[in-house]
Amino acid sequence: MRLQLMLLALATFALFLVFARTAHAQSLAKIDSRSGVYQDTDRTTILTTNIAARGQSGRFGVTARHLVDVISSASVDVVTAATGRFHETRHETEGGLMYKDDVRTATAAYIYSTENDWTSSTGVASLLWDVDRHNATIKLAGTYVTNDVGRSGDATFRRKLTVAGGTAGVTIVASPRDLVDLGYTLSLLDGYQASPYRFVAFRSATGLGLAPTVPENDPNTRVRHAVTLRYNRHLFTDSALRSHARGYLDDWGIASVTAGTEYVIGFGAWETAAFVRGYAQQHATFYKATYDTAAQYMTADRELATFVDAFAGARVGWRKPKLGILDELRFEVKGSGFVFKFFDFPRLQLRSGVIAEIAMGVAF
Amino acid sequence: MSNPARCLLAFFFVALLGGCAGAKAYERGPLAKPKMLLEPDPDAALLEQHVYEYREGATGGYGGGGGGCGCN
Repeated sequence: MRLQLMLLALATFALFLVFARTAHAQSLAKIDSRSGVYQDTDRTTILTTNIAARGQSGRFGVTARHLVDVISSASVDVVTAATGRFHETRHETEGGLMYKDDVRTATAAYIYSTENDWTSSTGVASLLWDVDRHNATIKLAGTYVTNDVGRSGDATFRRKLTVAGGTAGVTIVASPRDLVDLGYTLSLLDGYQASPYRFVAFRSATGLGLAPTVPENDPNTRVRHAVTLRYNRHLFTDSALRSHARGYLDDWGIASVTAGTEYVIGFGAWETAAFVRGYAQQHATFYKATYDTAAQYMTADRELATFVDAFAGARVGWRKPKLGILDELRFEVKGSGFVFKFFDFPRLQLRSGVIAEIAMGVAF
Repeated sequence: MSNPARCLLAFFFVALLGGCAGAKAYERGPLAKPKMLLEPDPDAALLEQHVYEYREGATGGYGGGGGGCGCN
């Protein structure tokens, strides 16, 4: 299934390119690859490679993309599940279509993702509409995801999770140097949202923690709200400050804030940027580090605990237009570091790590 | 959404629309540069959002998306 989807996406893209390059002078094709390595102090390493091909001819465009995650982990979650280090590979394939005219851009995409214990299908559609002589853009987008959740080594374990979401937003040209974007995203989840590998811990009569033995149990439904504000400011001759903030609430009791900024400077063919991002969240109402008695909902998920995190890093890119037969050739390297501080998750109070990426792209 | 949150959202929206002068076509040079795009590199954003989405309780608002777990 995975191979057929990937071949279908690539064949569609190749046919489109052949048609586009012969039928339309205003065609453009781009191929981008990006590889990254993630490593943290929770003994988790992830190697990611993403390859995307995009073509545009006149008002129409296509996208084909394939991503591979190779995961190796012996994190506290794995220890909780009483297994050793695990290795697995995730494949994600996307095929998309685009229509663009003077004031509207419409996109639709299908994404198929699979790994040994999880399969998902995602449909995404969006519409951007310029109004007020291109001084504002209205955005509407919708997503629908179906997930089949399994458990490694247990063919009888099958659970479903569906996610329906929508985004409404507006981007406004506030001045010749300022761009402001405001958006609201609603997500509705229905189905299995726990992990079949996580078990909750109980406190004994003596007050000591007991070994985790009871599978976690999250509510089946979840309603999530996110409000995002993004602000880009062009500075000096060729630099920009790109900032963002998000407020988030859900009916599991999680409230969080996210804020970050990136400063980008261009030096001819070179571009460099430095960025920081911070995040803070309050735990879900049913989350506890250890439980005294069995409750309707119990979780050992550190993502539902109270914590803060911070990311910081830099990237350097090089872009050369009109190089031989190529319309453009570009490279980028990016490195970042991060730290998480958990306030009520005893098994992991601190996690830090690094992420390194290298990217290359061509347009022709 | 609570009433104060709704009022705050409405305030931001009205303030943005009311306070924006826009830009004429000949003034758009800086805005047209790739570094002023909200999402200049969709592939970089995809990888970045994936890191956040599976390590934080919040999601949404920054694009990205896609399926699968890749949770660890």
